[in-house]
Parts: sequence; structure tokens; C-alpha cells
Amino acid sequence: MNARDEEFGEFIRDRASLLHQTAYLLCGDWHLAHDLVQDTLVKAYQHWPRVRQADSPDAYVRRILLNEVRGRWRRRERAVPVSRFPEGREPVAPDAIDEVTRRAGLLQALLALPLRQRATIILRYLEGMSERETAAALGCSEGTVKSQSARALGTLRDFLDRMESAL
Amino acid sequence: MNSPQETQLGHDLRDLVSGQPFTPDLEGIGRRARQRRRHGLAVRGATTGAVAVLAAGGVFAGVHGTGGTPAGTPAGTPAGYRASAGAASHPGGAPARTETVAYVTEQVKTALANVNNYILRDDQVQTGPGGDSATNWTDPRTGNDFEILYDATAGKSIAWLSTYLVHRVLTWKDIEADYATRTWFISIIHAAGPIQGSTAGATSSVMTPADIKQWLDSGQLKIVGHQDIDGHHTIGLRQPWATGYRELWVDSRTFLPVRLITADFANLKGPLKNVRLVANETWLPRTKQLLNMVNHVHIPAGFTHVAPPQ
Repeated sequence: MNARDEEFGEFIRDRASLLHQTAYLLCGDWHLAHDLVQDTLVKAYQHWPRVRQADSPDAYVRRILLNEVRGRWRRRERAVPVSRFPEGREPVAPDAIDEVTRRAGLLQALLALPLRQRATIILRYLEGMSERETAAALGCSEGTVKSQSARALGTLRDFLDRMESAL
Repeated sequence: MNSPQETQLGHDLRDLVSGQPFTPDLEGIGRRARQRRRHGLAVRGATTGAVAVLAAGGVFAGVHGTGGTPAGTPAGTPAGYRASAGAASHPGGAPARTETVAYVTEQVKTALANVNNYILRDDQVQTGPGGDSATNWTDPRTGNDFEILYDATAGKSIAWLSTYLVHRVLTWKDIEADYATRTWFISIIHAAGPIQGSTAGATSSVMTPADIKQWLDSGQLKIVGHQDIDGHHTIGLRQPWATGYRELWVDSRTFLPVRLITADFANLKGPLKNVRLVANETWLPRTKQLLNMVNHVHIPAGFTHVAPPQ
């Protein structure tokens, strides 16, 4: 293994799982998420000198991932339909506000968001990125991150409120 | 949604994605990256190589204009030569007239009349971090191209590129051998649809005089000055665009291209802002050895045939 491989391996060692999780929330399918992350890492490796010297290599890699998701979307390799619950997470307690049901509903609501809003939520609240880092990853301004985040949170809140009322 | 709700959202999201281990295939990533890199370069070479030939074409045509043999080079001399002020002279030795853009471009066009009697060698160096270098030999008669690429990260590879028509559909064939993995593959790419109208010149990787005229007429060319390059007194023609420029430096007496520079500053941040592609051209006689190297595929012994990158 050469120095480049070692450096790249070190970089992704602690990040690959989180990237995989982000990809899953972006597309709603673990297998597709796996492919997306592999493709992302291939491109990151290919452009490693550029990635490692970027202001934020993490943001750079997220940007690659988002472009991969957009590309798949354009090729109609879409996420699971929002009417379908992901495997193993079907609601189990329809007579109570069940955490599992609520989170499954959250995934549905998340997948129903426009991609940029969805990405904003995932980067901010799953990955814990700052608004600045999120803006760098999305290639937009911090103001856009704020507005996209506010809209997405509003949509999610409405959805979860309706769901809790129904339950 | 207030802060506790946002905190809860974070918890919910982490719960949604928990329990799914993921181990990236590092070896596969490296292998695929190298394949993509080679493939991209092959396509880039097939589509943009003509620009480099523009400069190269000028060298030959200038030579051709002096009687088909480089001035200062005995007729039939087998060795190649690099265009230089001392190697070729302006017809009649007349001094250059006023160096307007129109005059200089007209002289360059005149110098680009014919390239078919030579094998063109193009040495390219990309500056900046991770810069690559490549040497291409092109046979203008067949449009075939042989390349030796030194990728800063993937190492050495060689490739044969050819272009042809299948039922009027332009097709690029790329055969590459990679020394890092000791593998080789064949990749064939078809254009989206058949060529409408005449197919004359469609498969050539060398710009026709009409192409060159179009290139010279297409941009807002200007003379950017003079400088000495490898002992040549040169005039620089620059064609700018929004994020970069292309410069063609020609000998001020012979109008033979000496250097072609392509720079693009689309990446305003980071180290790539200074990346430039510098190409120097050399003209070589059509020896059997060179024709065989360019027009016939020779996969090194012991290399394994693999599928092309997707």
C-alpha cells in the first residue's frame, strides 16, 4: 500500500459508516446507499490531492455524494416509494405514539422532502455539521442553508404532528 | 421546531441508521479509480487532442511551405527535429510585417495546410499538484494515436486511440494497458447518432484547415506579447474565455508554433487554480518503426485482459 492509499484509508476509516448512513437517508435504500458510497469514494480517491487540500475535505466528499445521488435520481434509480416503509420498521403499535412508528414516519417524511432540503437536514442533524460546513457541502450560501433548513423542519414538524394526531 | 425538537430529530435520525455496518472496499476503490482515470483521459484525448495538433500542424505546414524539408535539415534526414527559429525560415527570408492579429493568424493558417507527411509528437505536462505528463504520437493520415501517460497517482499506462465510422456513427476505440495492475482492456464508445451530411474528415483527430480557421476565427484572439521560449523569439496569441485562456506561441519569423498553453481557472480556490497544460510539439519522419508503434497495438507480455471500466 502506497502513501496515498494509506492516507486515503485513514481519511475514510472513521467516516465511511457515517457517509453510508447519510447516503441511506438520502435515498432510503441500504443497497443503493452502499453503491452510492462506493462510487463516491472512487471519485474521492481519484481526486484525492484536490480533496485533501480542500478547505473542508468532509464537505467536499459530501458534495461528491450528493452529486452521485442527483445522478442516480436523474437516471431514475429513485429511492423507495414514500408510501412503503423500509424493511423491518413497519409500525407495530397503531394505538399508541410508538417510537418505531414515529421514526418510520420520519423517514417517509424525510424522503418526501426535496433533495436539497433533505440533504440539509441530514448534514445538520445527523452529521452535526455547522451551517457553514453544510453550505460548503451543498455548494450554497449559509443563508440558503438556513432557509432550506427552516422549510424542511416545518414540513417535518407538520408531518409528525399529523401522524401523532392520527395515532 | 425549537432546539429540543432539533435535538430529538438528531436522535431519531441516528436511530434510523443505527446497526448497519459498512466497510469500504479500499482495494476496489483504488482499482476503479485508476480505471476511471485512464478511461477519462482516453476520451479527453480523443476529443481534445486535435487542439494540440493545431500547434503541431503549424510546425509542419511552416516546414512544408519552405519546400517540404525543414530548412537547415537535409532532405530525407531521418531524425526528428523541434521547430525553432534556426530550423526553419520564413519563405524568402522576408521580415515579418506589422504584427496585427489578422496578419499573424493568416500566417498560422497558411502554415497549417498539410500535416500528412509526418508523425506528430506532442509532449504535454500539466502543472500543479498531482500533475500528469503524457506523450502522444499521432499519424495524421489515419488519425490513430499512441499515448504514454505518466499519471501522478496511477503510474504509467499506454493507450492506442482510433476513430472510425460504423454506419455513419462515429466510434472511438480505446485500447489501454496499465502497468500498475498489469492489465489491459478495450473500450468502444459510439456517438449518440449518425452523422448527418458529409462524413469527410469526421474520423480525423487532426484539425482540417477549415477547423483551424474556425478555431482562429471563433474567439477574441489578441496578441499578448513576445517572449523567448527555448531560444525562439515568439509572438503569443491568446484566446480568453470566462475562466481561462488558450495561448499559441509562434515563432515570430516562421510562424511555427512553439508552445500551446491551455489554462482554466474554473476552480478559484485551492491548488488547482494554477494548473495549466503546456504542450510542446515535435515533428518526426514517418519511419516504419513509428508507423508500427502508432498504428498497431502491442500489449506488453504478461498483461491480463480485463473488462473496460463502466
